[in-house]
Amino acid sequence: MVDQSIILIGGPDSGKTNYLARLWKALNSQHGVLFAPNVPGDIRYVEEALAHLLQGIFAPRSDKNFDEIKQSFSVPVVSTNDPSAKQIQVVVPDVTGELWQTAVETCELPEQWMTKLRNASGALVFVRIGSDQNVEPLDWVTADQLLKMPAVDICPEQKDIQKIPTQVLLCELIRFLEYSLAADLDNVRPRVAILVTAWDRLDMESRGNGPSAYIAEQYPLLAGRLNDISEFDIRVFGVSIVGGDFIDPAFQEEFFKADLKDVGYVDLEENGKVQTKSDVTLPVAWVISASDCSEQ
Amino acid sequence: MASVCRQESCTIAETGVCLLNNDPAKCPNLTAELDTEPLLDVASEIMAPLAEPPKNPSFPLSLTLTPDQTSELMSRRYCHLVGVLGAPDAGKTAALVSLYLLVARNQLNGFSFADSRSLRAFDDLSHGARRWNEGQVPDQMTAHTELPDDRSAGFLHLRLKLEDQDKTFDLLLPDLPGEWTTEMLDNSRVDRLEFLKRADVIWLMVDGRQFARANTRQLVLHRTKLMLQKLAGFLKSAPPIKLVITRRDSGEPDNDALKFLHAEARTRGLDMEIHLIASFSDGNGIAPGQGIAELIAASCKNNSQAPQFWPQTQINGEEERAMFRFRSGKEI
Repeated sequence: MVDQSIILIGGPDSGKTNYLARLWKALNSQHGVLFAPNVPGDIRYVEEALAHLLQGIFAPRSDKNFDEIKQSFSVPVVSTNDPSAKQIQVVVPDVTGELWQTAVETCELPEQWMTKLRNASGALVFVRIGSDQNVEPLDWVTADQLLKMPAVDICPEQKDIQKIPTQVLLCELIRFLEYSLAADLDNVRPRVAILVTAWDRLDMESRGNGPSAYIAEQYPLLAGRLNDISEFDIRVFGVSIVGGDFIDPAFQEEFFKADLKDVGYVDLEENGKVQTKSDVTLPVAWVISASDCSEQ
Repeated sequence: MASVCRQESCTIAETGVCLLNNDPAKCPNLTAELDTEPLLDVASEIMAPLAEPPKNPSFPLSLTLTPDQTSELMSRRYCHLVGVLGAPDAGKTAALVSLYLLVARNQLNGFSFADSRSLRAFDDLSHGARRWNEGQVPDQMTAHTELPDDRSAGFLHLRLKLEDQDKTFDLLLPDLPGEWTTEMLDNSRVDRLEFLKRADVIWLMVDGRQFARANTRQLVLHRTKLMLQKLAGFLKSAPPIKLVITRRDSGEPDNDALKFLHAEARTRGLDMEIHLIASFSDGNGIAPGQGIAELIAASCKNNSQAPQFWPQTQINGEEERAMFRFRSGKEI
């Protein structure tokens, strides 16, 4: 069996844990391009998150004090297109978004996570539509006020405007990946999937423009950065893990009548067109097919 | 083994001669063997210093670049180095912040963001980190290796993509205190501004409000003229100068003032253009960030011309023959 590690990256409340739970359900249901032929030994972490989804609730934000080792989900997967191929052990360490937030603020990362990053062959970077944790870039009026104001005069109510904007945080995370992703692996060209989660919250027109257009409109710095990277391959996905929002009672009722494995979808761009696929394993399948440079 | 004597002032240890003229082997005062044993084992008595707490691995900072980082970057990519000069409160920081906001909101006409090695520095500036360390203006470029708490002098890096073209270019913009410009004018202190000799273009930032007010107009004209004179003296072959008049939203300079400055630049042999910008806006019909995209475009166009492959030279005599030998590719 070949071991491959991919790492989940994103700020707080960006949808990492919920995606992992839904991914586990998809792998276990054997309906996607990837499936899990066996049930792995330790699945407590993903099962806890999946229990929330199955009851029509999104999993709460990861406990900051949760034992980090338990938050690693390891599962053997096989491609549906080639079931006789070698199994790939996908190890997905999930971690609270605060760790990445702190990493951006301090430019430091705990040793164990830096090691994981250097040994990972790919990454999933999460950005969630409509999260209350998203921080907008400043406008001219606010920046002008801040420039005129002594730093000590900023009152506690204004501390929010001191936060690092989400797009700057994401650009910094991409810079960290450039610096360290797969750095300890030989002949691996890593792949990074950008997952725009809560994709169902967009109107049909915006969805039709595709996830890259959404990033370009909402996060111009990130969009520009993604186009200027040569160290790894990048692909953007729009992901809805259940196809709607549990806040909506009508959706919730419909959800309870269906089966979780049949809801949720991924929007991706192929040949300049946006396509919707009802397979949430696609981003992981793309990332773990990272090309081995030695074979080229 | 060193000899040690109990007799006061005996120098046997240094000279080998006993003060009392005794035979060193038999001198009763000599206590070398006994005394060389340490009375106190200092090493065991003092606790070893605490080990440094383990540090987390770190990523390169994305703050202002040090001169070394700038050199390293320039050795790998061509960078358009912009010399930004201007007195304190001329609007230098505001222009940098406005440029950042334009890029962050994809409103810089003709350009879009591609990368920045100093993204956090730009963002910190936009959040009001404009004051230097407790009012103490830095005296030199910072060579920071750790995350500093204060704003530090250095270069801001920005890579922009030209709209509708698959082409990017890198800008280096110094974030320096205005006092460095004041000292260049008043004391001819230019040691910290040596980088201007490599600059592709120089932005001379002048507070536009001072042009608009009757009581400050003459002073600002005088100081701007002085700045042009000092630059012409300091830089033997000066790059193009962009005289950037800030705070356009507060009024515009009259034509006579601009003509006067153009004439002064011509006299000094400087290639100068005037740009009016409004980094922010007081809501009088001028959009915030107006003029900055044009300034960036004008600052980069001069360097886009490829040098002539075989330049015509005016060299005569021996040097001309050397050039001919080079052109024919033969050793004579």
